[in-house]
Parts: sequence; structure tokens; C-alpha cells
Amino acid sequence: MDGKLKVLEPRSAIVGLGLTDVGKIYGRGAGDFAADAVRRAVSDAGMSMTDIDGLLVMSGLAKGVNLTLADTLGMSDLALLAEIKAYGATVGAMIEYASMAIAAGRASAIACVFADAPLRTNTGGGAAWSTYTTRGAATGFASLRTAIGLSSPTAHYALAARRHMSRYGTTSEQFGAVAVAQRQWAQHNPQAQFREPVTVDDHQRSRMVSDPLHLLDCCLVSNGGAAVVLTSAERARDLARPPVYVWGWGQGHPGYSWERGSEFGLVTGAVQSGQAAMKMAGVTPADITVREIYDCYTYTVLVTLEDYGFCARGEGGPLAASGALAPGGALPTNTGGGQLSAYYLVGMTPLIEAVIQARGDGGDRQVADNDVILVSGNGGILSHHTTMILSPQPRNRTSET
Amino acid sequence: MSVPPVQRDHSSAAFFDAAAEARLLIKRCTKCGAYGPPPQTTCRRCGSDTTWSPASGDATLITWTTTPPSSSAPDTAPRTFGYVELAEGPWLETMLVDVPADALREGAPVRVTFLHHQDGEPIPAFGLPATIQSGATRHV
Repeated sequence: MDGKLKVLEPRSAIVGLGLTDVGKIYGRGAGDFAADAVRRAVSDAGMSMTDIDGLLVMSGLAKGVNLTLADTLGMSDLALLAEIKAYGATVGAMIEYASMAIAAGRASAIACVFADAPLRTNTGGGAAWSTYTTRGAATGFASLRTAIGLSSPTAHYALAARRHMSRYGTTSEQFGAVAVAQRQWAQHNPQAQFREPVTVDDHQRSRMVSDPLHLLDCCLVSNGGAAVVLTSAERARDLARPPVYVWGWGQGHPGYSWERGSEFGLVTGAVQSGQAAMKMAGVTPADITVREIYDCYTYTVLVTLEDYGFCARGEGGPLAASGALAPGGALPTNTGGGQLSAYYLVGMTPLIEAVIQARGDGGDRQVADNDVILVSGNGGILSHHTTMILSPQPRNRTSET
Repeated sequence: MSVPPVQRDHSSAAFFDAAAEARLLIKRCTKCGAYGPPPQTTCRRCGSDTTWSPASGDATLITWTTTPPSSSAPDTAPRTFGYVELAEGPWLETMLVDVPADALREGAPVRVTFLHHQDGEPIPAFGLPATIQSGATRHV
């Protein structure tokens, strides 16, 4: 890509944030949460719904968030309207496409929203998830996976985690250190679903879901919605809340080879997405002061930190065990408790926390140095990756090409 | 062990015909000869068409996971799944049968076997060579 890709001057900022009640919130559909989230985000920005001329939507397990949301919200004459789907990488993709549309002058204020309502009153999180993911098999090769019972995301991430353990000596206790650190952060997040402290012993004693992954290695399942509003950096200065400037973005879709030499479980597309985003932002891993890493599982956090270069390959486990990721540590990571402890809104969770930290609204969990914040997304089975670099400061450096 | 039936379709018919005779088929590039997994229609290396090719059935274990019985079926046995690397190079996502926990390690030699199903196509699975006779099958 070097020499061919002209690096865009970042011209967008996040100016509105909308988060509904999240967790075990029953009796509301995903579409209802989505409308609520957009209204909150627009209001937070000090804007009116008539100021919004672009809308990007993302649906979850329960579906129900689609282009009719524009009608629900009374929007007319939108210049941009689409449903985006890249699983856990969708939110990063939305911010990228919205930023490009703003830079190109094709839309001036764009709302991006995700909402889901898979939880029912009579089921646990795992059952809620499997209701939507283990539907009947197709025929042929596609049905083999279902027939043998290898259909859950947890089993596939367990295969990735086990490979990391075999290759680098990573331990289950080191995965546990990620869960412990994020729960420590969650204690200071009033919107977190789980706030009681846990220990590595608690992690080790928690139910085995798919060896080596215990229950406390897995993200939550939540009902709720989240939205952000983006506009140009120029306009952002005159709005209600402090702007959060978008400095860079990148995607990576590795397309693992399933053959000898495959890097599955050892390296992810965060390498590609991270390098693209950091180059665009003009920063290196040493410049990043806060990390909001997509955490479907504890393992994902470790391998993603390695991919970004926050530690050497294979050193993610010792890094987590050192306490560096926890409150007071050298590398504050997933400062709201993340999807492991706070709430699971498929990629909106790390973005929402990044905006809160960039605005200085983190309360007891506010990180002192919030200058350069990295946000990651990860979708499928380590298949789709995004990285965003955000900052409370406008970016004045000259872009390199 | 209770396993739902697998039904053939156009692109998998030859694979299951061979499986019924305890033979494992994979894909091979018609131009450069590179091997690929059974569903692959196009060579990853050169973009040419692939065709069916026999595999030896010998493989090594890459990674694995053991899933305990679900709460809805507590009496079933735990299941172990994994990725195996065929001697020819491609990886298969598979069920591992009768491999004790202390034998699960990266690089462990494994061999194909076929699970025969009353209502569906045979399902390839892998186990330790010592416990799998060449050409042997079992019923699920």
C-alpha cells in the first residue's frame, strides 16, 4: 500500500454519545433501543434530529435494527443511509465510512447506532446466544461443523487460545489476569453489569465453557443500544460537548490460510488495521495512552495487545499478569470493564468508553493522560479487524503520504 | 454419541462417496499442484481450478478444545474438537475420538476414521493411530 494510499487528513470528530440502559433490560426490542440511543446521542451533541443527514445502522443477534429506523426517528432527505455488517468490526467500519463521507462533503452530521435485545427473562446469556447461532445446518460441508457440534464462537476462540498457549506458554491464569483487571475497572463504572471484584482463583473455579476458556473468560450478553454522532472537526468546536477527534482508522481482514504455516491464533488482522490507523494518525504504540480493546474473550485482549506492538509476540500473558492493564498500571486497558464485565454492545462498548475517557467523564476510573486513545474491533472468529485512534485534541501534525 | 445427520449436496457428493469407502478426499490445484481443503474451488496460490485428490489420512494435531456436556444434556460425554494438519498440508476442523486428555498436545500424530450415521453421510473424524485401524469405521 505504501506510496499508493494517500493518507487522508482527519476531518471528523465524535460530538454526541448515546447509551441506553444496558444489561438485563426486558420488554424492549432492538429497534426501540436503537431509536432511544440515537435520540440520546443527538441530544448530547446539542443538535436536533433535523441536523442529522446520515445514518449508519448495525443489527445484532435479535435483528430488528434496519433502515426503517430513519422513519421511526422522523428523518427525511438523508444523504447517507446504510446497514453495515462486519460483525465485531462493524463499529470501526462505521466510523471510517462516516468520516470519509464527512471529508468528502457528502454528509455533514452522521449518526451510527448498534442495538440488540437477545436476552429473555427466562434464559441465561449462553442460552440467549445459542438460540440465535445454532440454527439448523445447511447441507454438505457447511453441515459437517454443525453435525459434530463445533458451532459455538467460544469453541472456536478456545481453539485459538489453546494454540497461543501451546506456542508461547500462555496460561489460563494469565487469561484470568485480564478478567481480574477489567473487573477492577468495572467497579468504577456505574453502568457495568458486573462490579463485584473477582480473583484469579474465582476465574479458575468458574465453569469450563470450552477448554481452556472458563466462564470468566467470556463476554456478557446484554440488551441495550449505543449511538454516536460524527460531524466535521470545524463544526465540532461549536457544539455542546468537547469534541473527540478521529485521528486515524484502519481495517484488516486476514483471510487465514487453513493449511501448514497458518497463523490462526497467533497473529490477527489487528496488525494490519493497527498499522494503517497508527500511520494515518502519525502515532506509534508508545504514544497511545489508553487502550479500549475488543474483548469477546480474555484471550482476544492478549493477542490484540501483541498485534499492536504493546508487547512482544507471546508476551501478552506475562504483561496481563504484571497488572499493567489494571487501574494504576502502566498500560490502562478496557477502562470501563469492557465486554467481559460492563456490557456487550458488539464494538460499541470500547468506542463508548473511549469517548467517555476522551471527554474526561470517567469519574473514579478516569485515566489521567487521555491524549491518544486506541479502539479496536474484532469480528467473526478473528476474521475482521478495525482500529481507530481518537483524541480530545485536534490533530495539527502534517499528514505523511 | 448423538450426532445429527449430514446431507450431501452437489459440491460435496464426491467427498461423501469416497468417505463411504473410508477414503479421505481433499482438493488439489490442476495447475500448480497445491493441496487445499475439501470445499475449496479455487487455488489460493495461483487462482486456478482445483480437483479432487486422495489424502493419506495421516495428520498432526494443531489445536483442540474439550466442551463439557451442556446443562440441557448433562449425561452426554464431553466432546473434543480440533484442527488437524493433513500430511499434504491442508487443515481440517474435526471431531477427535478416543484421544485421552494427556495425549492432547500440539504435533501429536492422528489418523482419519469415519463415523457412519444411520440417516446421513459418513463424517470424518481423527484419533490416535494406535486406536484406529486403517479403513476401519464406527457407527454413531
